[in-house]
Amino acid sequence: MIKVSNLTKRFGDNVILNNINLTVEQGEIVSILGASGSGKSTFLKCINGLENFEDGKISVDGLSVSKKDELRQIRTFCSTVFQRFNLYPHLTVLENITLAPIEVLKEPINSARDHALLLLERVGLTEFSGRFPATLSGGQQQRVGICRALAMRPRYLLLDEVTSSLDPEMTGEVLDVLADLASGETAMLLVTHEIGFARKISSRIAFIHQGILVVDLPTKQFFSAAGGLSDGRVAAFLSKMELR
Amino acid sequence: MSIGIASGLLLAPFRYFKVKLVGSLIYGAAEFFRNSPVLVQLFLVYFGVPMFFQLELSPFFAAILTLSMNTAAFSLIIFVSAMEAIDREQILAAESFGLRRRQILQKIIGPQAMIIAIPMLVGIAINQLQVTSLISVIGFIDITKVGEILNQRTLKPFIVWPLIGLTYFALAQLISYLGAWLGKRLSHHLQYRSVVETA
Ligand SMILES: Nc1ncnc2c1ncn2[C@@H]1O[C@H](COP(=O)(O)OP(=O)(O)OP(=O)(O)O)[C@@H](O)[C@H]1O
Ligand SMILES: [Mg+2]
Repeated sequence: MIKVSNLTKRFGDNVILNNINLTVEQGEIVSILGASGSGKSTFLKCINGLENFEDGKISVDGLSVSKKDELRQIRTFCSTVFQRFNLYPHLTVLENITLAPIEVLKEPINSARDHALLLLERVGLTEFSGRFPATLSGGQQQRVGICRALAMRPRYLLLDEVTSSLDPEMTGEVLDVLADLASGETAMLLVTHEIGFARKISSRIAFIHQGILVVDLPTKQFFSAAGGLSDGRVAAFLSKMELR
Repeated sequence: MSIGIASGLLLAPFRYFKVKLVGSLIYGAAEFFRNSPVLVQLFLVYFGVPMFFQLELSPFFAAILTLSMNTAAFSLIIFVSAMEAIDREQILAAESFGLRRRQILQKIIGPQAMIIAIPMLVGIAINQLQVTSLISVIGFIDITKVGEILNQRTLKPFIVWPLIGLTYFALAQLISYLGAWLGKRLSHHLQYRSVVETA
């Protein structure tokens, strides 16, 4: 379980995240919506210790993000897929995927490679294993990014707008991979602007407005007039997104 | 004699890695070696070290020491700037997967920084090659000194000096060639060529 309690994060005098509480159970899929600059990325970064915070507590399966050796453990089973892929440009697709399993989990090279090839097959990229990231399309790179995260056999997957730097076509191919994953045991916490997709795969949706988590409801209720839509900020955000 | 620079250059990366941990102290020393004339450094080492530490330095050792430290100082700056040129986000990604700082340095930063650093290191190496001509002032025999001796013996300056010039030129070419070769080996991924099964 990811458990965030009373999280407050500041950059200088600006309060970026204000007293946030959220839990994600094992196997659950939770989407976070919110306008640009509302603090969604910062929130995800706090969860795996890429950003530190002033107040509150974050724990993943009982381990505290704020303790160095516990954080190291958390990172072995809580993986991130990044908006701009962040692949290692000097390594091949296969090496990108196997680096952390070999170096961090100490997985034998052969088994790491077999697992990587299995994952690549699942996302339809088998024949690209020897290529360098720069020779792939954005959609292909992001699918590699997903394989890299899955290679750790994570219990939790953090996804930060993983399709927002992709063309609509490629967005489809990446979302398909995620939807496929969603039926598995990996819990997902995803930040997205793809409302339709969030609605389809999430069990819960949380809405952040200017650093405050204003709504956190089961998906169905979130989109109902009496539930999420009764909050003016959510209604305004959704109608704005639909207009795009 | 040119072994001096070669080893100086080779020492530099190692020095750099050890050195970086000691932090600002090293930076101070590096600034000194970068911002003062090599000749002054040479005198300081050759005459200064025996005075303060009561040990006798051979001209050879003093020359190697000075040039190595001098090269290390320049290389340090090159490595730091090369490392800073690498996209921060992939380092963040590596961190998020639990890689330790040493592993990130070794697997992510190092290989990419090298590619950026090599052309600049070649520049430094060639420059240092020319600086070696200074060490004859403390009585150590370098290529230029050889030239002087030959010149005095043969009294044929128009043959000796072009030859000496050519020697420097050939050495510089060799360094450039080695640099280019190494750079190419390290930068497969920049050549947009697919390589089959690596791992
Ligand atoms: N390193 C930083 N230093 C100072 N302010 C920052 C830093 N990183 C983010 N911020 C600020 O924190 C706020 C939240 O940023 P964040 O990236 O979390 O927003 P977001 O909800 O992910 O937005 P988007 O949808 O555009 O990705 C923004 O106002 C941003 O300017
Ligand atoms: Mg963001």
